[in-house]
Amino acid sequence: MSFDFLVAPFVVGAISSFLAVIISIIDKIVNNYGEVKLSINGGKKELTVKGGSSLLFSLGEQDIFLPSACGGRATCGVCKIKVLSDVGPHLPTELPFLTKKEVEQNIRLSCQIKVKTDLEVEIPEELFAIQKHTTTVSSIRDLTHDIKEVKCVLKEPQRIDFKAGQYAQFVIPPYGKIKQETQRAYSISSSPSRNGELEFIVRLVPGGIATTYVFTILKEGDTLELIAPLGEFGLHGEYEDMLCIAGGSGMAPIKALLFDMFEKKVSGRDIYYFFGVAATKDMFYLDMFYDLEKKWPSFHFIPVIAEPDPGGKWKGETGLVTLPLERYLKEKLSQDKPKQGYLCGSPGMIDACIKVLTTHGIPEDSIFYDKFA
Amino acid sequence: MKMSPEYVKAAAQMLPGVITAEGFLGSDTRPLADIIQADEEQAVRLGVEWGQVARALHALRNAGMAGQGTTVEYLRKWKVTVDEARGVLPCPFKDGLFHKHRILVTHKPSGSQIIFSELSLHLLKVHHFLQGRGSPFRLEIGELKTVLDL
Repeated sequence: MSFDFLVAPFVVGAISSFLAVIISIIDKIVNNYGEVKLSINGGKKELTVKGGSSLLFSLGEQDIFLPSACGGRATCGVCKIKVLSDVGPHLPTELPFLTKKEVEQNIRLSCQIKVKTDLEVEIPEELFAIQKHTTTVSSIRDLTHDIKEVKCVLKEPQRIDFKAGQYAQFVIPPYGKIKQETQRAYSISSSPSRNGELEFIVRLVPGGIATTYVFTILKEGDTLELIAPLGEFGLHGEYEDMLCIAGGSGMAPIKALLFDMFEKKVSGRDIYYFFGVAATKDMFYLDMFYDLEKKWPSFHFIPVIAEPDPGGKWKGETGLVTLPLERYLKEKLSQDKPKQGYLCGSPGMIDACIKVLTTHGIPEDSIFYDKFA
Repeated sequence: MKMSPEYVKAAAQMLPGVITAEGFLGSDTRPLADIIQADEEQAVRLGVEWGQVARALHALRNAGMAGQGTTVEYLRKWKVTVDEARGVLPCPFKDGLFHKHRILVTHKPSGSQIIFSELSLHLLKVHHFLQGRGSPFRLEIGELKTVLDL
């Protein structure tokens, strides 16, 4: 019996295997950048890292965490860093997030810079305070049909110093079909005085990698890694009246801000909180804020349901949140006192509110909102 | 149909967990090029033009945005609800970033509904990709024809 018909497949197989080995060896040689030195802030900090990873990831490996709401996928544009060394021209993935001035100053998205040779970079000193925290999920509870409140007790390190309005990145491990670690940003909803436990308000995004994990996998007692504190959203000024406007899970940073002010007994400025949701089933924390209103004379809570259940018991404001906002600006608020806007919610709601506030004379530089929308 | 290197790279981005939890291909086992070709052929058979569909979807999306999460009636024929989440999604073909808008359109006369996203609108308009069968954002040409009154 002849086995000649096996010769050709055997030869092809052998050649393919040989080529695969060669490619693998070449890959190891060509893509092996060895150890690379990172010099930070004029040599104040010198790091030795393994070349080949992104600058964002390489710094993170050395416990230097740059803000990044998307975890290195070039979709949030916040992991900016000044690179003093030549790392080639800006990539098309970076340019949508950079101003002309930033491009001229060689500001780069650290997630898009591959560390291949020694680099000199500049990092603002305050970013060195950002740490990775190991936490244990102490409580998960439903606030609405698609919003959960998640509380995490800090284990290592056990305390965190943050400012009301800042956010943390959830480090989501691989699960199910998700083969790689993912990071997503969530505003801290608890007051900075509670520095051993952080609270978050998470809304389910259909198809969202992180929120699907929080809603279907994460449970009380689980370990969750967080990178925090991040972000610049927070309280400004001392005497201006404040118009806080939030929608849905946009409640989180505003809640932290308000309870922080209440605890610090801030007075001398009136605070109006417009909290808008689409339907009755989307409303939450009503009792908490009505209670705060009773205890804090300068605080005024205006919950708004756009389309309350027909025949329901809702007696509060209805329609889009911009309607009562406009009415209050025209009829109820002092025209003489300077005002500020604090916004958190969907990009569409933020745009609509900015339009109302600026129309009523509040300058754009007195309107504050999360930039990672 | 042979896959171009561009399609091979895009198909890798469409797998579950790369850009979204579910990915873009659903339970469809056909190569990306075949999915697109089959939908292009179906569009020709049904007399549907891609540009016409994209313009209609854009108009509905723009009308719905004014509702800030509530349902808006458009031209007395459609109900549109735009749900927004923060952040953006990159196109698997790496030619843009898109806000996480989820647009639910109900065609009042027929009661038929479609759901699309800012990204799926771009995929339709630029790449003629309606996503794989079983994908949560899969758009069927026949449904588009009914819902958009084409």
